[in-house]
Amino acid sequence: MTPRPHSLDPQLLASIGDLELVARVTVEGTVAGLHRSPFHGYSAEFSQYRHYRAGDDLKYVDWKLFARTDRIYTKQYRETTNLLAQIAVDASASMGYAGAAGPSKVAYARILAAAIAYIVAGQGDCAGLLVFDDAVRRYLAARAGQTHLRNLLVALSQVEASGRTRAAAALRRATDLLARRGLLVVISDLYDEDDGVDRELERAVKMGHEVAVFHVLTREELELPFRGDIEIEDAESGRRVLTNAAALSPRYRQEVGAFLERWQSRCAALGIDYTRVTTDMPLDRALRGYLLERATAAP
Amino acid sequence: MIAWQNPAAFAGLLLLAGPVVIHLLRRRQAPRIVFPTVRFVDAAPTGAVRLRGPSDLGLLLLRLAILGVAVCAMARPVVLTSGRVNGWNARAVRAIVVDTSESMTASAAAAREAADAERQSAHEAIRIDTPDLREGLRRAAASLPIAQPGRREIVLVSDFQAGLLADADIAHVPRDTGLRFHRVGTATSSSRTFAGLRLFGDDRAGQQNVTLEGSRTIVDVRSSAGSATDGLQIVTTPEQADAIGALMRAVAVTGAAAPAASEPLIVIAGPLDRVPFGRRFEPTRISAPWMIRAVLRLRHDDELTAAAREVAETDGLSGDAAWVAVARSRRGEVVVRAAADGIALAIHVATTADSYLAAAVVRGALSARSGDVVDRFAEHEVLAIAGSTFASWSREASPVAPEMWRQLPDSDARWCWLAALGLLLLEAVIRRQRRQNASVEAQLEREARVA
Repeated sequence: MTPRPHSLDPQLLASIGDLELVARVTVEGTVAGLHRSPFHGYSAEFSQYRHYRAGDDLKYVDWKLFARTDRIYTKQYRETTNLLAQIAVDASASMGYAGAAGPSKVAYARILAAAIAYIVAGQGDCAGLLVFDDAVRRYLAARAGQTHLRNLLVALSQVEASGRTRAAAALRRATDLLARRGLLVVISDLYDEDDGVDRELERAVKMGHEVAVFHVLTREELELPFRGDIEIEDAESGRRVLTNAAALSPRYRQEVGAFLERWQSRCAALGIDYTRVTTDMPLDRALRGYLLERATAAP
Repeated sequence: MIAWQNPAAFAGLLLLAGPVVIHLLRRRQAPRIVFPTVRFVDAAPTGAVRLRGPSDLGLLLLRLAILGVAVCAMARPVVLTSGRVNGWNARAVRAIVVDTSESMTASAAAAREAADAERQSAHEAIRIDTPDLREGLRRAAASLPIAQPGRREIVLVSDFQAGLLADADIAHVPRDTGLRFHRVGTATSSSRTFAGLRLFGDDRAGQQNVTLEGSRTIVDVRSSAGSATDGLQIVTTPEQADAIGALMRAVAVTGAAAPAASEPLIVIAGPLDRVPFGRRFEPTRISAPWMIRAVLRLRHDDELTAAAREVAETDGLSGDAAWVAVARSRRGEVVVRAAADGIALAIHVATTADSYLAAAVVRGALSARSGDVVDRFAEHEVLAIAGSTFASWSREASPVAPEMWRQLPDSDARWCWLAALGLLLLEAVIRRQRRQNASVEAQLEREARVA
């Protein structure tokens, strides 16, 4: 039985400067035990038949045709196309929030994105990066190869949270930049106009892309663990609200719960893989659930 | 009515502003938290209202009370109730002056008894034993103001020989201080004869015999044994040598006490470096009691003082650690100074031997030296101060003035400090309770979150 890897402390991983190392450690800790690759090519198109030659893989023999013709023919396919994975990372100011324990959301997103890119590139597939706030801040087209992976990881390591969020526009752009059907991974706290983002995600699904959403939050955003009178300032708009934590807490939790539930339901309805993570959650746990589901769902 | 011994302490009330400002400031700014979004945050009205007022009004008032009470304590309050003032009036604060002069020797026991009786009947008593009743009265008047509040009174216990006290001495006693005179001992005789001064003569001394008969004083002078000049040496510059004899005759004519070989005097007239002493003259600082008393009397000798002021331009006698100044000219220069020369008292005069100042110095020195003898004459007095005089001097102690609280050695501040301590303890208890409540709340909140 494959031993379960140790939980990967996000705070510790975030403190390591080398994102490539972090990605490798994360991936090794996560995919160990996965018998099937979680990511796979989408296009394996039938090309033609040819007579069986000694040594051909029996799995490509068309047995139905043999039954009909009493002759052994092998199927030939076109060259398998690589997976195109576009990883969209939200780097708006709200992602800069760190909370009491754990790294900031953007630091967590960096590691998540690096790990996914590492897995994709490790399979020989193409990984791309799109960093956004209220506009596309950085874009790397999906490519294969170790050199590209390194460039992607360097670009990721430079991502800092700032600016306001306009995720809908960025997701539309990310979707458009996928030349063919591929995988769109969105890593964000989704604090944006809900309808706009929802629309773009639906559009991506309808265009045939596979979409995965990693909804990144901190424990404090879920629980609001403050006391007494406080003045809360919006990290992006600067708007301030004077309130009392004890009086606010019940309603706040209700609102946040509804917000999360809405996204989960909507993603489920669209067939989008929705994973909610908090920054105090070990990285392997954050990734494993998603990857296992993908691995079992692979044809 | 409350009187304050230290009203300046009320400036400390400014400190009361401190806690108020702190309580207000502490809540004026709620901590600001930068959060990813405020989309789920509603403004809570209670938070806004709470920011305008001080946090924990009860605790603030308690702390203000502690400060206020402490300030009152430092202002040293004295609560003046009628009972308290009446209590002061009901008690006597007494200074008892007991005459211990030579004439009281026979009456010492009676004086002691009288003084003890006075002490026992007083709330507070100060006893002053002195041979000088005048000086004792002055000390008594000075000691009463710092005593505890009460009717103040001076009691004098003495045989009250005539001359011990005069109207001027009584006038220096504050009007609100009572005066009583307790006579002990009586004159054993209305007549007494005693030896007076040995008088200075140009060739032989004369001995006084003094007889006091009632109010009559009879002085009989007879020639006495011994040289008139034993114990007196006058030295001067060679050119003034002849003036010495004339000087002595002049002093003898005006009358002066004879010198004594046991307490010799040297009068030096003229510059020291030109006076032929015939020996090594090394003056030293005066230390013998009779010399000190003689110099003090010389300084208060009116004739000598007047003569010194009449001195015209002269080189003043230079400062020297051994010499003490006795008299100065009008210009402030030292013209007479004194030092010790072995067992003799040396008096140096800046002028010549034939000057008026030199004569005044010799006569004054002889009188000053014999002052101890003269002082004892009063002890032979056969007359006493009349009873009618006592009647005019005696008076009751006045009632206590309310302002006497100023003389109170302590105040009622201790009660204020006690109150402040009690309030402090209460504040500590309340503060601890608040903290415990806050931690219980936090614990409940944590448990709710986990749930």
